Amino acid sequence: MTNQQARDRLFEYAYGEMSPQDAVAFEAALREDPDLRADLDAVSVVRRAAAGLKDHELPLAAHRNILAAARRATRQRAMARPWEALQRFLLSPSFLGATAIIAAVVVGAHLIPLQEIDDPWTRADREQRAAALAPAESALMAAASVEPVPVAAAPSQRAQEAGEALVQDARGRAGGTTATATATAASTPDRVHVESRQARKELVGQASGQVAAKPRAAKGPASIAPAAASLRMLSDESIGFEAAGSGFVQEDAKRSKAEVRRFAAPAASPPMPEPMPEAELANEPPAPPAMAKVARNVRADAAGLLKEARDERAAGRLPDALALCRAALAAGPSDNLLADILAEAAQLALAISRHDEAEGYLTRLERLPGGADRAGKIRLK
Amino acid sequence: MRFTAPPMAFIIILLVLNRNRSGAVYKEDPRSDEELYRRYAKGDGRAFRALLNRHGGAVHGYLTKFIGDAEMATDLTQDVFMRVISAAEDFRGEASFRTFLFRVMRNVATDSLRSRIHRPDGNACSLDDPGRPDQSGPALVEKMAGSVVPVDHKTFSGELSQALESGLAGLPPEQRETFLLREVEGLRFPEIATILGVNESTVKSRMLYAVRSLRQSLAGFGGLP
Repeated sequence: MTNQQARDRLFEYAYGEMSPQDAVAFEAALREDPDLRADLDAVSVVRRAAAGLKDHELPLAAHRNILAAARRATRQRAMARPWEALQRFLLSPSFLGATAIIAAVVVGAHLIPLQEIDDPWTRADREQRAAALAPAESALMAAASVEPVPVAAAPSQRAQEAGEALVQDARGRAGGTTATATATAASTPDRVHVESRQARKELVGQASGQVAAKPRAAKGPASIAPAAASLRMLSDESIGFEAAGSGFVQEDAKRSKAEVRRFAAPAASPPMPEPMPEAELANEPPAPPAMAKVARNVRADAAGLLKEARDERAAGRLPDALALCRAALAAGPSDNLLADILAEAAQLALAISRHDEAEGYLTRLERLPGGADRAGKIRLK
Repeated sequence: MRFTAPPMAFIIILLVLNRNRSGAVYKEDPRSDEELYRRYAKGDGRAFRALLNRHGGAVHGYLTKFIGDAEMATDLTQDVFMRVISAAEDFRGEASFRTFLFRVMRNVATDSLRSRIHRPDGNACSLDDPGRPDQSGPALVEKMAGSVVPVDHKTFSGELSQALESGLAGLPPEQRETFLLREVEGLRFPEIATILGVNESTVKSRMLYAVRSLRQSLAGFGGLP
């Protein structure tokens, strides 16, 4: 390595960037060149002195100013291209992570109430009750289809016997339905269930008694009409009970109600059955006054029931008021009246700590136009 | 309550995740400078934070030593990064980010030095020979080695530091910047040549002259040969 070559590669040697072979050649040149040795010595001295120059920190204020300027520039760029900024945000790990966590929480929170609402009246249970009620309806339909026989014509002993057999069959099957309802009520420590059972027994007894008595006298569909009307009342009451129990069974209840009404349609022309005689009532187990009122007014105006419910609430009889609300709901109100009844029922249910029932009303209320705000206020209360 | 809780929880989780990400994660970001700078150009503010954490101290240190005024160096550091911010979308990656950054830094420093030399008060100095005043004002070397020299260099104190700072201030700017880029910032000669826009031989030559001058400045120190 010549002196000039060694001089050109001085810094490579000083900074340790030279290969070992070249370093040997450089050191040979170094021994022969005192100026080169002096330069190398200067480099090492200056490097040692300059070692302390390396520690430096950017002042915090400057750091913040620069970052603020960077953020401003980023925002300006984002404003110029909003879709890119939105896309970047939506695909950011923070957003995706937060979305996943919230989705898991929301799904979990909605699954738990669903199970709670379905517990007392499972779908299978509802189907079982519907199946039990269907033969009774069929029997009554068959009884109603018996040809009317003029009183002055041939003796109607056979028709009468057929009608009676059908009615007995209907009674038996309806009794089975009641037993099912009773069993369900017994499995649920719920006063409303028990009240409903009693009212139902009363109505079934009324229906079967009328059906059993009338064919002998009048014969034909006309004689079945009061029984059909009573059965319709039973159906309505049952639907009201279902609707009160859960918002989720409302659709099923409406469907059942439509079917029963279709069945009872031929009997629509006769007047409503007479109230049960006092003597018969005395034989029945005493029903709570509120539920008796429900039974009498189940076909009455929903608005009137709501008013009565409010009166009961004002009197401090909250369970009775709630039962009236259920009856009002069973009457099939719509629009604003339905919203009023649901709100009232939800507040009453909350007041007596029936949270699941209240949640069912609030869920129904939220589905109505403008009902979400109202439900939200009730929840906040 | 039931309907306000999910959005509130969402916002809280988002903030927590963002806070965790904006911490020290990017200080040891494994991505290259170029990738971070491109990310910033696309709107990722945290990428710029990582770049600043990586190079902010180096830029400030260089400018402090080159200008000799810590306060002014801080202002100039902000200028450098403002230019880096505004040039983000134009970065093509033809040179490395560090080369680009130091080129910007060098331009800012040179502009600043030039404006100091050609001040409106008439106390201009020669850029070629900053140790000799053109007119009646004090020499730049005197200003830098005197009261203008920063006093907050705790790690570089004492007579040795004074002598080295005086020696640095007495160097011509092109030698000073070459020395600082090589010795303080740790750039290699080809990289320095790219930043300064000269060939590598010129850079080595400037470095050698700078070392010889500084060696003379440090001649009187007993601890050093």
